[in-house]
Amino acid sequence: MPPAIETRGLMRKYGRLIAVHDLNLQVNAGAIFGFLGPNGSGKSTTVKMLTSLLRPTAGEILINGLDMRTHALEVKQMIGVLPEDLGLFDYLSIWEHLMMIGPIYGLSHQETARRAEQLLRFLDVWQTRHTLAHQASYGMKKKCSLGMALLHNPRILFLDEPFEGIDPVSARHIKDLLLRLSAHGVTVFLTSHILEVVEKLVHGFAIIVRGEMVSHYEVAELAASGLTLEDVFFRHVNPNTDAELEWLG
Amino acid sequence: MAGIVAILRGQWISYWRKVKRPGNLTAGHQGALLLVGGLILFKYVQLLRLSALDLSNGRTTRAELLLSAVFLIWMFPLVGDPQFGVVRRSTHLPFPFLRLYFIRLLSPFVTARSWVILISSAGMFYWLLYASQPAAGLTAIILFVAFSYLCGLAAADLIATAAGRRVLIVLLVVMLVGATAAFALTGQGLMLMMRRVWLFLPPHLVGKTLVGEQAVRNLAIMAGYAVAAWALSIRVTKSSLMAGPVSGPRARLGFFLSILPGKFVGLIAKDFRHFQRLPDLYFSVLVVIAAAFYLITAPEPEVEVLWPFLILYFLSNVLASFNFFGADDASGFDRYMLMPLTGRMIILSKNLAYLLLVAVQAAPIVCLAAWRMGLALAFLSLIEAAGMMFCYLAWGNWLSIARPRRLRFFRFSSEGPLVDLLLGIAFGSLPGVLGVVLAARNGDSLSSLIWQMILMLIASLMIYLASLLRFGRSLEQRHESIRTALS
Repeated sequence: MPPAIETRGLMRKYGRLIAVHDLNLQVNAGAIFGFLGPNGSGKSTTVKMLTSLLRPTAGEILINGLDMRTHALEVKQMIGVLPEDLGLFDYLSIWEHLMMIGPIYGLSHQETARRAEQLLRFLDVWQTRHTLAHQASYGMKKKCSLGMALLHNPRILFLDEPFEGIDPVSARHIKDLLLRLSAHGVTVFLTSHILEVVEKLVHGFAIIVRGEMVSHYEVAELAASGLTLEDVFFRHVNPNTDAELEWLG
Repeated sequence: MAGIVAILRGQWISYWRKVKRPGNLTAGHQGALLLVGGLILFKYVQLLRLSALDLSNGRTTRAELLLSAVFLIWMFPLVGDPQFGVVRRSTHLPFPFLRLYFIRLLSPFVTARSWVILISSAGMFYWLLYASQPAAGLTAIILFVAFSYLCGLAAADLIATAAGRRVLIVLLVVMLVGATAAFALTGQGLMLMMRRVWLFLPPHLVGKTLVGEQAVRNLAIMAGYAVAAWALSIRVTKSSLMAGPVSGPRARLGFFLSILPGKFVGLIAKDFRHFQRLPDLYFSVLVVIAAAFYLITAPEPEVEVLWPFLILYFLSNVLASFNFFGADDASGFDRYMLMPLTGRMIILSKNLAYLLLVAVQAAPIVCLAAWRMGLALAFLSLIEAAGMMFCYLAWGNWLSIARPRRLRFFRFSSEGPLVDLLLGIAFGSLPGVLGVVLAARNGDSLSSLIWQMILMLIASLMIYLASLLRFGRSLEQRHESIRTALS
């Protein structure tokens, strides 16, 4: 059985800037994988390449063994994505976003409505489902985008910062849901800055700094070594505390 | 003061970076645009000279028309600019309202086109050489430019809020209904009434001041207008700022979702809602009203008169057919790219949304044509419209991918690749013009006209299908550059 997500020598350049360099990853089916790094390290660029929003400058992406370049449509059909900027339309309501997306994945109108209602109730936005996206709070928008990612029951989920801007109760629900999905064989690839959440959730993780993958661990292996995810993270990402800000306070 | 300068400087840097983004002046036919601009300016200077000669002979009609055009032109940079958003985003800063208003007043001058219009308006000072009272003329022109600018500012801020837009729509409907009722009741009396009203409007007052007729009275009225426009502009800006973010109705797509079949239904309904929020597209409604008026009132309506209305209709709808991704913004465009759809399917969904718009807007024309001209000619009118629609879509499929640009809701779109638009209009109108020529040539032979029109339709359809295949592939290859253009 091929890995759910595999990259070989993945690279992305923006002019002279190398945003992601020689990224080699393997994520097995059913795993929850955390992709960590400081701001601007290349996490979102990687997610965008893995979800076909960006074309790699070099390298290969295989999703469930399918090459992204030649099987983009099949890949898109099997993945669900919570993109960095959420991918919403300002003048559609939360409900309309879900109703719009269902038929595109081949769901009937009735089935879309049924799933949409369950998802929105689960994400606690059922009461506010008729709010237009541009009038909704960031958390509501994120839940809407998450609902769109889940609606067609994808085999692989790409979630860019899924817990940012989400209230604690919903965050807890989402964590439980991800664990349940993983138990059913769904692969989850997520980025996050909240290390405590990631540590409790993921089976494996990688740290990317300035476009290069500097570390790749399995959580079990980490626990055996007596380290925490935070220890590993700060080993590679040094906070800049040189500035004294003596004028502040 | 330093705070105001800092904000305006930030706006200027942001604007200049946006202008520079294409990389060079040849991108987007900027050179050709300059040429067209130069020609318009040349014509303007010519008209200035002619109207100056008229003024020296005591005639003001040409000058009044030119002043009216200047008034309307001042609306464009203001109503089309998103600068109000900048002021709204500054409300958290420790500025009193008057300082915010001052920023609002100056921010349109961040863009080059406002300066071009200001300098062109200053060209009217040339009239002073021929004016009988130059000092009074100078004052009148300055008051007129200030009045035009402030009216544009008030209109721009009014349409920035949902309540303001409702006020504007109610005003327009009341004016339209009032004019229709007055026309029905008084006939030519309406024209007389309008002529009497015109005597008190700014263009006439400035014209008469320039030829030295009742200068003091006219200046007093002009000053009153300018002060009123200023007060209105302050009032509208204040209420718009307090109204909070731009809001809209919590409308639902349930209606469309329940009656339309297929996987694109939601996308089509979404695009249709976007169309409703683009004010430029309402010009086509005016064309439909004019065509309907002709069909109802003409003793014997003719296709040679009706079909030019159709040509005009597609021309006024050009924003919808030539920039399919403009209203989606970069984030929305990303959503399209995440969907399991080919480029061809995405473009097809956009084309179907446009078809729905045309069907909804042009349905009254076809129905009225069937009633007044018979089914055969209504069918031919339908073919004429379909032929043009296919050609507009074919050009639009290319232009939407080659030169996409961001559209802003509730704002007129006064930017765009002018040369490509003009060429596209010529290309899209070709079947329409051909139809008019064929109708004039065939005269009484309806059957031969039908066959020729069907052939024309097939040719248009082939061009459209070719564009769908070709630019569907282009969309997949160029999606990153389109996204950049929309961000």
